[in-house]
Amino acid sequence: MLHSITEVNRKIATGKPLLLAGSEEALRQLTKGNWIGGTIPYFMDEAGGVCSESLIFVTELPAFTCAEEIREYTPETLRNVCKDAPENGVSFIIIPAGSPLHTAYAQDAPRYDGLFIKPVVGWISGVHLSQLGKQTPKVFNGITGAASSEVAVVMHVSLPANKLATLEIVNVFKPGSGDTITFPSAGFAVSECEINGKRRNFAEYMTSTKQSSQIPLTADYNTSIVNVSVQSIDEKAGVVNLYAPVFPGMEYKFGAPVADYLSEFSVAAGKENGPAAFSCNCILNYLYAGLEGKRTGTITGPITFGEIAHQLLNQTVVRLFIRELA
Amino acid sequence: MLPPVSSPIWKKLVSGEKQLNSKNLVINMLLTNCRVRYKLDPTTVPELVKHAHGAFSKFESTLESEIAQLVS
Repeated sequence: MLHSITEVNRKIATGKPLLLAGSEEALRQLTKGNWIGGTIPYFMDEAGGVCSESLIFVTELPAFTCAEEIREYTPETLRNVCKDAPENGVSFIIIPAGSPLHTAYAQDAPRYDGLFIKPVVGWISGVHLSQLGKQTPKVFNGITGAASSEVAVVMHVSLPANKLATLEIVNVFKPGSGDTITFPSAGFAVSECEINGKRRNFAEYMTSTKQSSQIPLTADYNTSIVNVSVQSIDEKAGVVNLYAPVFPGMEYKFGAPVADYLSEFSVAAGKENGPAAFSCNCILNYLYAGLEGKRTGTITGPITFGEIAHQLLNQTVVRLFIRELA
Repeated sequence: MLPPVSSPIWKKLVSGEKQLNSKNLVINMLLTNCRVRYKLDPTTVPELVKHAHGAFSKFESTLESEIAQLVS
């Protein structure tokens, strides 16, 4: 939920582990404590989508969780994130957008040892859209109070033996009926591709087919649909810039247009079993679906420049559930 | 009961020879990543089998339907 700085400082004083999202100015006013944070002024609160430079979104972790450690990672050490995680728990990660860590995690995480055994969940921090290129997205380590645009911050949390953390996503996009697209190499900036097996320049393809850049590429992960969103098309250079990397060996299709985002979110949220312990949603969903002032069922949390559920996702709601084992 | 890591079913699973119906995000991500890696480099099978068996072991209590498909 959204809180004032005074209220958040009261919560920090209790010593409970907290995940915080807010503007850099707001997060800098917090006292040190058992928290990690990432910059962003956009949120989905219970009353609806909101942009605020002064309020902070607080995710309080359940009382049975135990924050074992808050740790900072560099591009060189990031691959150890699962190795450092407790055997039964969950690791909350926040990575500054546009940093070398963002690229490293996006491209390499699927090969991290243990990524699909020890859940990693979190988000890519950002800035107000009017400040793109002027301010740098940051992460905060509450223990030291330090802000950085050059490290990822992780809170490793352990769970009792009778609990299990599982991650779920809500993706309103389904693969469309159009061309099958593959890419020869991994990357955020792509030029070469194959359309139904024939080589073509991807920027030229998008332009000539009048493909909307608001619709993501979708990849079918054994029926779980994973998006890669389009950032920009540089027709002159023949390059399409993406918000997440594409991978060789994967087949992509542009998603089918979504008729009604809000209904899709509400339907998906209605299927849940109990409340999520953490959730976040994408800035592109916030913008393209016009979520400011609108509610998305029980889905609340920070709006992000990328969502993490094991690996980096785009235009997707991520939710963490902590289940009681029989 | 989960097949042991030495069972040939794991190689079939990570190579895509054995199809699996699942709504579980972690299993779907794991299998897809394994199958893409296998397609690009089949010598990675031992590592992929280890990853797959590890994930199924960790989430065994939530994978009743998936494990039933492995042993059928």
